[in-house]
Amino acid sequence: MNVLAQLPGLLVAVPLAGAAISFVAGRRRAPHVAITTAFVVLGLAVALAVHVLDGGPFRYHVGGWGAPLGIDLVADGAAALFLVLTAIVGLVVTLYATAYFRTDDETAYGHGLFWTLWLFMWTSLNALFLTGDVFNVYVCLELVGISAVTLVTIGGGAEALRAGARYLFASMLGAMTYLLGVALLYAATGQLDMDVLRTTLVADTTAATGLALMIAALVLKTALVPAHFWLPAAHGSAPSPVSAVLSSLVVKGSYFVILRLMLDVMPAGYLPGVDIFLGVLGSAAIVWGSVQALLQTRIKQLVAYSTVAQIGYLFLVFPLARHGADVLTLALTGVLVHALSHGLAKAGLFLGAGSLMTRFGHDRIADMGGAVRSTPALTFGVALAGVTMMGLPPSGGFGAKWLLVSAALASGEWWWAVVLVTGGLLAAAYMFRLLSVLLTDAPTELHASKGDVRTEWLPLALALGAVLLVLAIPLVSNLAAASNVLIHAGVTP
Amino acid sequence: MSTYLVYTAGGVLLYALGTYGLLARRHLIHKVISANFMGSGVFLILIGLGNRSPEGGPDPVPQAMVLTGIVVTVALTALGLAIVKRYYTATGIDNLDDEPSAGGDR
Amino acid sequence: MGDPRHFPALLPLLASGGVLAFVGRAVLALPPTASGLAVEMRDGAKASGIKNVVTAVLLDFRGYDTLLEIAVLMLATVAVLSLREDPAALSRRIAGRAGPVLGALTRTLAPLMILVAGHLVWVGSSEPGGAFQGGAVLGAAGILLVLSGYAQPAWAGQRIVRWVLTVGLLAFIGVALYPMFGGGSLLQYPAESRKGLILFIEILLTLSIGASILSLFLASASATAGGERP
Repeated sequence: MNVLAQLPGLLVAVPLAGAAISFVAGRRRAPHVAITTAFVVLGLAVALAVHVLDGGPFRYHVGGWGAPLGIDLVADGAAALFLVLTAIVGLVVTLYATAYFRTDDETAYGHGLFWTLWLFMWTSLNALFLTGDVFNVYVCLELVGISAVTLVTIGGGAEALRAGARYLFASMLGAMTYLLGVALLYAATGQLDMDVLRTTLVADTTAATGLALMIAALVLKTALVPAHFWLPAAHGSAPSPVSAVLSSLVVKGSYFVILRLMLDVMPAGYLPGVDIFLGVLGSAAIVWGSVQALLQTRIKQLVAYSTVAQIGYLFLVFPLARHGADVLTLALTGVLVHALSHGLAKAGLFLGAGSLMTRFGHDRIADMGGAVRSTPALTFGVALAGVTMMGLPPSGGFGAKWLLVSAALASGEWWWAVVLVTGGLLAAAYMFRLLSVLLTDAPTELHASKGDVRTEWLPLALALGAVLLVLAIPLVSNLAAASNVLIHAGVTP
Repeated sequence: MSTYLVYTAGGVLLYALGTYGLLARRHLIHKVISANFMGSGVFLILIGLGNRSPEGGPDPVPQAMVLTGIVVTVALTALGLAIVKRYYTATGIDNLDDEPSAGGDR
Repeated sequence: MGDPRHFPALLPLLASGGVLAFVGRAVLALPPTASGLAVEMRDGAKASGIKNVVTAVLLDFRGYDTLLEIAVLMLATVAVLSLREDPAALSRRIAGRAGPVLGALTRTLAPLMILVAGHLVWVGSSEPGGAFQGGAVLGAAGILLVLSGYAQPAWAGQRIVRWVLTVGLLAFIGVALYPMFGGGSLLQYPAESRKGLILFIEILLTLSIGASILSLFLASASATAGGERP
């Protein structure tokens, strides 16, 4: 078997097999199945990224049929980037979880079913990043949604159940709306494949309504202000490894589909005003999320509102995309770098928050003084993650801001740059609020660590990755250039 | 009025009703039922609009989409009811507006 | 969030009214005839030898959707299992009770339902039917048997239950991966064994789907004193 050509199929089938096997393996062996699967999937994802860098994007015809009869998987640079991000965060979270979820209580953490649920979620994310068919997106979104909602509730507790219920209803609303959009789109065009739609889409009321409904549903699932109401509770009350995955990966999944639909499938200006509207909402998210983060007294709520703010940055690419291929290249690379660095840093931040909560025995920021003395590695990790959030040089977050500001200035719409800078200042404010407490030099009595190396050093590793990402920006640029969005816009790699 | 429009209009009405219910109704089970209304509405729309073939006979693609959609909706509903029931057993609350007092499992 | 009576009432009305208007307009803007992908699908189904076009679409052309859909159903089962309040919900004796009417009905209906389930799967390739339909009927038969006391799930150890739930998905993944070794892609069934492979997957899927539906029901049963039926 030519593994390189089969990578897209393997990237979905392997974690899915892992999920099924972990279920029959029983609670004792499930973590081992998960760790093995994680390593294999990481290898597959990196191999795909290298393959796309070498030979450019390619399509994988599931069932051998090819669109429009069958479903195609699209392996391009952007997809490869997100797959690698998912694999890195996925592996680290899996390792962290083996320590975090260690318990003798058989009924804890969903009767030991965390691993199966987590592997299902990983499968669904991979499938979502690779799919080229709008109805298949619906099935993948459901997979993601069901696993995400269940994982939120897996720690038990009334707060988590309530947050999970709210997340579920938001998910249902989004799912039904998306499916309605697909129904209208198919009725108008008779096509479900994104590439075919790209070449055959004409001005049509029904198709436009369908696409608008799909975008609206995806915006709800990505928790863009004002549709963010479900996120802080869900990400805040889930167990920390789950929060890490939710904030760094799950919201990027639905965002990725918006990217494809807005920038690749639809011709520019197909839905009049929507691109600017998304940019405005993104700016509102940056401000509103940061302000809310400043007001939080509990650590995970602060980090969750930070996610609301950071999601806003991702939507600035849409208004900037109207200004030609050069600006589009800068803006798209900027949001891709941002997605990567935020993914790594936010995961590190949530894992770090989880470890801090275990050590201190509570989640009140104000009472977490002296962490730097007692858990220096952990505190350093949180601080590094903050560096990326604030966009301080040299870090991945800084690189992303630099690219986006350049794009904004090059397009002549300088006000987006103002938003970007303001966002950085506000992020500094809420991160300083957290760090100023952690970094106070006071001796503190801490509880025993739940795990040792894993819970103390893994958050640091992720945060370090986010910072070092700045060195990998040329690599990210090359992968971005190998993305369908740019290729179809006429940008030669 | 063509046949397909009757089914489709029914679907649109169901969907709108379901949207109202999901957003306005307080009781959690009512929300779950409303989401099912929305689902059934979309299925009717899919089937209705898939019945416009000039040669007669339905379009198999929307039918396959509906079959898949039904399974997905069953899965979502099962999960929804399980969460609602678990939440109710833990707190005695049947809506999202009331705050749970401290406690629940754990 | 302000007075919960007035404020939320406006948003849902606007939302559903807006939906009615926009979607209605979009639907009315459609031409009265259109064939979508129907022609391609019908020709393709004829070529692959499966008479029921919908089954061909579900298990052949868009089999990838069906694979993920089975994953969804299995995921939901695992999810509901993870939420169960009674740790032994799957293997606890549920004391079902059947009065004379229910007892007679069950004795007649349950075997019939199982037969119907098998029939639905078998004819799925040429008439409406298939794994989902058969699995749903099978699951319903199981629930009927448990509720009327004719079946006691206590005999099933945890391990067997997990295998029955998973075997459909595992078989599907296996069949999906197998063509990759011969140079084909995921789910690219070799032409000669296409019908046989599809039937094989469907039978195992029916078992798993039926077991899933039964598990969804059993896992939601609460523990009550004496292990009685809730």
